[in-house]
Amino acid sequence: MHIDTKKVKALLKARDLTLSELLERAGVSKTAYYHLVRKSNLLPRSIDRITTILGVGPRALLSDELPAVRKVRLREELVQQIQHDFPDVDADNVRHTLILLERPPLERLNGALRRGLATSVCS
Amino acid sequence: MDSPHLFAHRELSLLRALQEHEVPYLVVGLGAATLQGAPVVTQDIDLWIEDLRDARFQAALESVGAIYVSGFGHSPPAIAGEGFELFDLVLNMSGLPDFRKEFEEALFIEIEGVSVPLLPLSKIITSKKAANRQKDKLVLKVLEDVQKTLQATAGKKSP
Repeated sequence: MHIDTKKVKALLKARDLTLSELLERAGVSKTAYYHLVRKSNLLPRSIDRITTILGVGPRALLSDELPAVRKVRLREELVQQIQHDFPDVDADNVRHTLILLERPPLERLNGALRRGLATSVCS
Repeated sequence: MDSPHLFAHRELSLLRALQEHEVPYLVVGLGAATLQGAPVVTQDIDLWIEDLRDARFQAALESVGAIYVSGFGHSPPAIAGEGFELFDLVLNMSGLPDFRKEFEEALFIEIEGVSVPLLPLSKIITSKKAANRQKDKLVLKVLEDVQKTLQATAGKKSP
């Protein structure tokens, strides 16, 4: 289970708070917060502080998104972030690179070799 | 169903032999780019050997039953033997005149317990730009985008 940022944003909006204000009041660093968002294992103390400020129970922050869907969403967010940092990159190139980086090197190499046998563009 | 691996036990045994015999070499070209995450295709694994006359190189080949075939005419040198057809020997890299310098800055990647020295992506790009062949131009944009992706994700774990 992990934090659903959309749920956090909705709660912040309802309370007229910004994320920075919430984290400052809760004494949770931005690094720790983004760690909570990206990791599936929650840190109870940080969650307690955040839910205390928001006046909700921990379940109100948890995502019901399927892990596979979350993986794709996080990858797409990263693609957009990289496009923001490097406006001239092609999103497909970035996306395919990120997908390949999730695989072991040998699997990457064998995939490239298999595809290479069916194409004329090679090294 | 996945097709069988093209780069498997025999191919890996050659890289292991090069490591065990301490042969100075680098995997270069698009094979090296793929190992670093580039979504490109290749038909071979290019090996840049510092010195093809090095006794350690010859011993490494012999230990796995491979045979060195010296170049003749327009044919480059090659490695003969079943399972070694994927390997091409590279004598020179465009834009990278000094093997030793590149070897000292190699990127090592672990494949099934073998530490494989790669030419870093930035240097592959340098070499492709210098070679400036049509097939090099076709992959340059992809390689440059991969380099930016690696820069942006350095130190981050993939989702």
